[in-house]
Amino acid sequence: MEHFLGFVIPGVPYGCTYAIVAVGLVLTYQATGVFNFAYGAQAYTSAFLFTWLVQNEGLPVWLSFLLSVVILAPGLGLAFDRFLFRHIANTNTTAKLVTGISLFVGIPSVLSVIFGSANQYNPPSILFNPDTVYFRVAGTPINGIYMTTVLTTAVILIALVVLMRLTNLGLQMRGAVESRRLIELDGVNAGRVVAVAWAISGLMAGLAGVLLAPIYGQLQSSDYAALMVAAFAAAAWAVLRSMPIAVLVGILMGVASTVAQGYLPVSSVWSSAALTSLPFIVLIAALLLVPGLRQLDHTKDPLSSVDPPTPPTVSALRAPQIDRIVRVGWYILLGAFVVSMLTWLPTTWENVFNAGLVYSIVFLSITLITGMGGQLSLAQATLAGVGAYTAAQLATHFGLSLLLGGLVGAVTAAAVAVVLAFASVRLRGLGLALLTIAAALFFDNAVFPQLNSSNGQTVGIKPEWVGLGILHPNGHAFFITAMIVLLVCIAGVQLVRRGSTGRLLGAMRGSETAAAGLGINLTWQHIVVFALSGVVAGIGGTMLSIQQQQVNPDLFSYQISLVFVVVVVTTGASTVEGALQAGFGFVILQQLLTYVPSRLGGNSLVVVFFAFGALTYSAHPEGILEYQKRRSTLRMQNLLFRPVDHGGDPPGPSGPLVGADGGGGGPPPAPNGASAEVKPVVSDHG
Amino acid sequence: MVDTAASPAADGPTTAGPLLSVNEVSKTFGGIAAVSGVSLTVDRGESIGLVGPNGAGKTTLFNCICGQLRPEQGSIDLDGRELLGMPTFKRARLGISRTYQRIEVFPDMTVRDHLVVAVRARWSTGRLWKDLLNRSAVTPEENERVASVLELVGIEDRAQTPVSALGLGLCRLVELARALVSEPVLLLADEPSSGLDIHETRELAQVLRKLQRERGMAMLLVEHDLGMVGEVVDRTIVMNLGVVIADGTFDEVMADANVRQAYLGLTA
Repeated sequence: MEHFLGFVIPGVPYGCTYAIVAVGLVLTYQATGVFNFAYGAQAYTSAFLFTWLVQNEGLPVWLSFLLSVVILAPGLGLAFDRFLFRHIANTNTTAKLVTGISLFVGIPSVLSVIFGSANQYNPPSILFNPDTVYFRVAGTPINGIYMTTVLTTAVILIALVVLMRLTNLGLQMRGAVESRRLIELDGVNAGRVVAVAWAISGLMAGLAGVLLAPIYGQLQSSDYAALMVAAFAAAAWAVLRSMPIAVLVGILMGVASTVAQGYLPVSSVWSSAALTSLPFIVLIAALLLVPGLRQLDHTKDPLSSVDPPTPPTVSALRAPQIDRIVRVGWYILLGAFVVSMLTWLPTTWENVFNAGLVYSIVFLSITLITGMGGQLSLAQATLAGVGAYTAAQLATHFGLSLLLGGLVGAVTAAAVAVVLAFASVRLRGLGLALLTIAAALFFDNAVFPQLNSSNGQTVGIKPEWVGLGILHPNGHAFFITAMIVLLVCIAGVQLVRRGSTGRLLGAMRGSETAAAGLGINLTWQHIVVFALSGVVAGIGGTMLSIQQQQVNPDLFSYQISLVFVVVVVTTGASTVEGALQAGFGFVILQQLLTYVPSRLGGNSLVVVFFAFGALTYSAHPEGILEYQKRRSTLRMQNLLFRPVDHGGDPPGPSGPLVGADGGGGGPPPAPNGASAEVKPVVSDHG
Repeated sequence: MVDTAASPAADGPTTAGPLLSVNEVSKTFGGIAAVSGVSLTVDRGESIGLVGPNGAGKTTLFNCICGQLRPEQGSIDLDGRELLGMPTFKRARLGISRTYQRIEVFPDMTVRDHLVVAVRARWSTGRLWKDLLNRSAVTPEENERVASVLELVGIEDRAQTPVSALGLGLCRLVELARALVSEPVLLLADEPSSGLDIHETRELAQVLRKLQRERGMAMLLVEHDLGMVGEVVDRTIVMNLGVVIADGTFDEVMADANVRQAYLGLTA
């Protein structure tokens, strides 16, 4: 028994940190309706600043704690609320997720730009001395870190339960989740209530951050990402509602991991794969088994009908004349691009554009699943990785050409995507995002490392695996191959978009209730869009591995999936044009930033750049680039043709559906005083 | 106006009994009985008004018939086929169409596309392989069918307009057109006149009556505008607190003491 307790007791502090972050997630969700993906990043920020102030600036612990936890952490929460989440409608789950993901991806990059990328070591403890053993339980020493973590967790949890259950503020917070606008009609200052909730949850994040830091001994953002998954799992079992269940599951996971570590043979596959995968398995199990999670996105704000509809794409707005100009412009650009690639472009830039082509293919898979399917998948890089690893394995073991193996890889990626689709048949929005990120992390930890070469190194692509001279240094053969593959993928996506599948998916995206009522099999459409997205991602992954000349888990990690989402929603997830702009924008920006001195951030600014771009998603769900294009298109049309009364802005946010104008007879009222017809110039001049 | 006689007939009857039989259906939400032991029948081509105060269980009954809710008790048959356990999309393909109390349109689509989607979903003609072979263009037959329904409902001039640019009343008409284009054997219309003015409501009533007579379409109409109900329906069923309290002609049920007490708040 003492032996068993010897493994249980060291797991408790880990469990406490899982619990405290899980409770923070539950609190944020309960009080604001936001599942805060950025919570780990908030915790990391406070821990980073706290350690930096103590270690580098020599400030006393109490002052560093005051600055980094008591002031910065709630301030960060308030800033998130004031500048971002406050402006997102309660029902817009995707916008809330994308905003959180952007922060999760962007904040560590911003910190490394400001403070440098060197890791911080030996973070201090906030209360008790880490090196002092205060007493022993079942032979296990209880030191200062242990005492600090357990005591602080207990105090925080009691304070929160009192706040949410016994105070008027807690009641108002719970009301604000349902509809901020509705409780305002009851005379509650909803903005203040939600801001207080953000400040409290921010404070908790900061506290969790500084508690965790000494446990790990070294401060790195990846630890906080792993912590987040464990917290996601605990929060999911609590259906984002019950703080006691979140605490219980969090502590159990902490204990289970140390017990398993104690009993499993150190060198076994179980120890290396299953142990690291425990939080992902617990999360996936919750998503599959807890029925309440299917209802998360079903809550409808009674006042949601005042929200504006998504504006039409710029291509739907363009007058035929402009359309022709744009089309001719694209052909000229394509011709110039091909000629340049084959003649004068230096190798560096040729490689950049080749990378742009293959990233565009991967990003087309996001166009399919997010733009057409209306679902947010956080495993697109994983699906690309499945394609790449399958092709590489076939090449390694059977000598199959990567181009043929890539097709098998695409089918395998589609199969994995179909499994994900089956697992997520009843999940949408947040539930689907969590399931896909859990799957991505599972592949990162348990699958991809097993597929590397025997010494654990990444798989290098050998020229004979590809053939056709594609790996030739001048890259022309690769360029031509990538162009053909990209054009085939674009043609496929466009055919699907314009065909019945695109229409049925559009219906499903608009209203699943009405789509099913018309006779659309939602399950089948869900599977189809996942499978198509898997095929395209798998092809893109293989092409990416050829272009990079290696199959590296870092190319296909879950962080890359998050970055992909952030990049594509910045340029526009709903159009093929958006995927191409994302692909080329991503690599061109990366290349340009290599000219920026590394002390100013260098390449890590790419993520910051796109993360800030994606933060505009809530205001412009069509993508900030798409929004700017629509503005400029309308301005150009007004300039070239008869001025149309658009007021300089695209038709926009005053919710035409609200204007109960009667119906059959006269035209509906114009949003923003603009013409109610969305394509007025077309009808006028067509 | 559309030549409705030229339109293909709705799926022919397979049994001699009523088209729709709802038998002792009950549905509760957290212990509150929204629908309690409701039984009713709808014959082919029959138009029935389903009226009652808010919370009477009318929309819940619609949801049970469509498959969007699963009743705890009872059975529902369409043309002799048991519907319970059948998913919503299969019921729709049997010829049950509906409109919604709270507007359910597809914001990214034009009015015409709504109807094209409905046609392809109803007869399951959209196929991925056709898309990939570029054989999914709208066929002349589909075009004609869509155009005729748009004209019938009076929104043909809005065919290419995205619904996000339409007002509430027009969106209701789009919903109705989308339901009608699939040539239902049974139309469930949930407050179709909500958001329409008095003239538009009258025009809508005429369209529904005409369709129901000429196409032999059965209809269950939930409506608070009793004038419209009286104009359109053959029979009226009154619900209150989840149960049926009267069933008969419009004039009969309006004269019923229970109805006046429960629905109109008047004593006989």
